[in-house]
Order: sequence, then C-alpha cells, then structure tokens
Amino acid sequence: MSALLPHDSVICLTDSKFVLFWNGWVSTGHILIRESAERYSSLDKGLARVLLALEGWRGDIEAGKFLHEYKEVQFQGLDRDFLFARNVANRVGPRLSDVKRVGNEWHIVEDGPNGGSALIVLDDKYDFIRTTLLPFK
Amino acid sequence: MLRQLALFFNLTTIFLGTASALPPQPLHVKVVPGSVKSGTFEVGKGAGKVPVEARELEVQIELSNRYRCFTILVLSCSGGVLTRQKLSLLAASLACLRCSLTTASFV
Repeated sequence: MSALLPHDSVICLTDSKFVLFWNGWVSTGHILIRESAERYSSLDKGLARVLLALEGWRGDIEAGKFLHEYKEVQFQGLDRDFLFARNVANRVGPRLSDVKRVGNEWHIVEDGPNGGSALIVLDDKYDFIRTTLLPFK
Repeated sequence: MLRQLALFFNLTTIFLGTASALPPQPLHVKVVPGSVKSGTFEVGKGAGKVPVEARELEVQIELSNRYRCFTILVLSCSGGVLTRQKLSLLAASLACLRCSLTTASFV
C-alpha cells in the first residue's frame, strides 16, 4: 500500500494525529506539511466522511485546485551547493530520508544530491529551529 | 379534497422526517465496485514504526461533463490518548492527499 504515497514523503503518527511530510512534486528547498487529527468511531465512518468531503470539493477538483493547504517550511541555512545537483541541466533537489519525533521537535533528515545530509529541526508548530549538516556517511 | 391534502402532507412529512434522519450520502462520488482493499500500513512513531489499519479504494467523481477517478488511502489507529475513548479511532483522510496530488498535476 505504500505505493500510494507520493515520492519523497513520510507519514508519522503522534498520540493524537497523523502528520505528512512531503518534499513536493519537485524537491527544492522546502518541505510541505499537513496533519490530520480527525476522529471517527470506525474506519467505515471515517471513509464515509471522506466521500462526503469529496462531494463538497467537486468544484475545486474540477478547477484543478489543491484540496488542502499545506504548511510550507523553507530549508534555512542550506546553500545551493547542498540543495541542488551540480553540473546537470535539470533541477535535482534533496531527498527526504527520515522524519522522527524527538520530544516536542520534528527531526527531518534530507539527503543532498551532491552527498551529505542535513538535519532540519522544527518545533511542535512546524516552525524552523535549526539546521545541522551531517557528516558524509 | 381536504383529506387528500392532509394525507399528502402527512406522507411528505414522514418522507422528509425519514430523509433527515439518515446521514447525508454523496451524490456524485461512487466507490468503484471491487476496488476496496484492506491491510496494514507502517508509519513512523517516535523512533520506530507502527502498523496502522489501512483501506485503499478507488472512487469515481462525477464532474460537470466528465468523470475523474481517484485512489484513496484511509489510515486509522487506536492507542495513545485515544485509549480513553474506547470507541474512538483516529481516521486520517490521507485520501485527500492523493486527491491533492492527482489534482495538482493539472495546475
């Protein structure tokens, strides 16, 4: 079933919500985040709610709009040399490697296309805290 | 005549009463028969991964002059703070994520 998830995405679960981290269609210098904390008494009821929601979004689907707003967090402290592949015509960005919840922080690991990795730390509200370049593996 | 009107009124009331007692049903969104699959899905939790219940299905949405099909993934789990609410599951409409992706390609 994981084939359903988009490339460069990770889903995490906390005690109260699912959180999706996604580099987006084209990986550049940011990450998109969306959380879901909807609760239903059964999976069937949750699914029924999804179908009803889709019904309400028909107009947006027809217009080709995103159905949800994602929070976008820029990778601060990472230069182009880390973010984009050198000596290639098309833009090749970092690959989302891992996301972990550590205390009240989110630790995101992005692998750079030229080697090396970066740890991006966000707070509980997904606001940027710090970036640390990790040594080559 | 008056009796007929009264009967009609009563029938209408019963019908509306029955209709409003049912949950609303989507009119233009249909689950593709035979497309529903159930299984487990692993998501990250803390330093590790945990399995959550998953359901995958295809839906067909009737638009103004065409149909669009989407694959939907719904995840649910119980546990953590939710154990206090015995009947509660956490259902994430990640489905909509997939819809977003599919739709985004037309932006």
